[in-house]
Amino acid sequence: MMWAEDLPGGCPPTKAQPPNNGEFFRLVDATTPADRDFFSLRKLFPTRQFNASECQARALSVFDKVEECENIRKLPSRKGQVVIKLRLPKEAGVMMQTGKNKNHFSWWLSQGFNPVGAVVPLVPRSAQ
Amino acid sequence: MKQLTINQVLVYYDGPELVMGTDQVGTRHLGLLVGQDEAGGKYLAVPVSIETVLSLLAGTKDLRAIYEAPETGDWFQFTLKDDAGPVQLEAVIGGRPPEAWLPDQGFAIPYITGSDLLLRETTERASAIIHLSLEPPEARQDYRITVPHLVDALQRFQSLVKHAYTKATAATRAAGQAAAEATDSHGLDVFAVSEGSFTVHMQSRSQADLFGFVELERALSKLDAVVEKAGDPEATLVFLKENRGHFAAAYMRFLEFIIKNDSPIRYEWNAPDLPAPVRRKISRDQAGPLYKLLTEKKELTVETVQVVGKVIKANVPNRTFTIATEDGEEFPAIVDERSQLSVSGLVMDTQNYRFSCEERIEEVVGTGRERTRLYLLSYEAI
Repeated sequence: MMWAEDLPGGCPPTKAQPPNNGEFFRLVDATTPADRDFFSLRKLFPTRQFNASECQARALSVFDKVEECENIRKLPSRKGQVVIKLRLPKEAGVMMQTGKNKNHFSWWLSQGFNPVGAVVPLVPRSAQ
Repeated sequence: MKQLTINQVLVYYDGPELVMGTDQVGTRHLGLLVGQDEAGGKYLAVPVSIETVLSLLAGTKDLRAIYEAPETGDWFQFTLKDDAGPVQLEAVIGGRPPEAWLPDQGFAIPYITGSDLLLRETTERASAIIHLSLEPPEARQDYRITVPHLVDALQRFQSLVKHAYTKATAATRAAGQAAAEATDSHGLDVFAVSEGSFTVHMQSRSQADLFGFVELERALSKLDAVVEKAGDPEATLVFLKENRGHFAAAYMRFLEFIIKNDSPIRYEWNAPDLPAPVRRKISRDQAGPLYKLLTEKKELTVETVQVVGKVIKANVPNRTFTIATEDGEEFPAIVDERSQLSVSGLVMDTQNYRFSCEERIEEVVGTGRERTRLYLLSYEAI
């Protein structure tokens, strides 16, 4: 599999697996997602040095529960962002649970996959 | 000028959102991301006690409340330039942060705490923490353990962890990628003991990176994988055949301790990046059949290595010689007793050879330290 961004050796980790049509949630800047909403921190800031894992810096964060995204929106750097829902096929890349939050996944995007096209309608919980 | 060394990420989303660090006098601070650009992430910081941090993680204290009214009444800001050095803390202009820098009420950090003490120690020390519980006969009625039992258990456990790390990272090294080989990667330090059998609290010598990952986790994951099969000797055998060598030998020595000292063991461990602690145990009833089966398979403990280099010293009557590799390392070796080879056949100093050796680990009697020796099986000139 080829990757949307240059990845360091040993990245993604071998434990990372394709998503297989799973549903995930991510925060984006506007109601209509754009390509930039799927840029990793490394791609957004190409000259920054990261003193932790370069592999992690090239991954995108997603949650498998909408409440987790809604929680992150309470943080100052995320206020005003919009929650979107993604249905990710195996061609989307690979991902694995990372960090202390068991609902958080790091996603390494595969080359040629259009993440904007994977956005599916998110029914507000008040409408359910 | 106050400086902060960031040592933990508490909340991560695309990057560090909430971090923790300590200043030069050991005071903890929380740092909350409020913006970022090419220069780095901009953070709002407040000093906090460990009790406040643990209350935050347990959900009994709100993050907004911590930032609205910091314990010392001070707010600071810093830019995380990601160069691994300490960050400079500056006072917030105007004394109070703007509303846009504060989190909304109700932000939750949904950690699974498991043993609160384990979480506290993991958070305090920003390291992998292991609680190893021993239960030899003397510890069942009283909170004590004999010195030989304690020393033996800890040395065998450290040896097991060391060889688990070497085994876990072998594939990475074979792929040409750098792996941390220094003792810090698998070294353990004892920092406390507690009741509940006789429980030893250990921390990884290496600290977590900014994402909470500790190199020692590679070793502990390998250890978990074999110990979870403790109830199934055949499954253990299959696993150790794929992980033969020093790791298998160290595991058998650990089982031997359990049997010889009638001391079942339990351990639990956690690291800053894990969603939950890991728990394993081996009972005496499990250790017996395991040890019996594994010790019948002599080939499990054989570790073969290849060394390329020149011979720089040789002693024909003793069958010993020393190999010097291209990067300056020297390896003492001895011709294996089963081999018909002779040291006298080796050309000194000028000829490169590929030596195929059995690497044996021998304990230096009375010290608990391990010494590695190479036993020559075959060689070819290259």
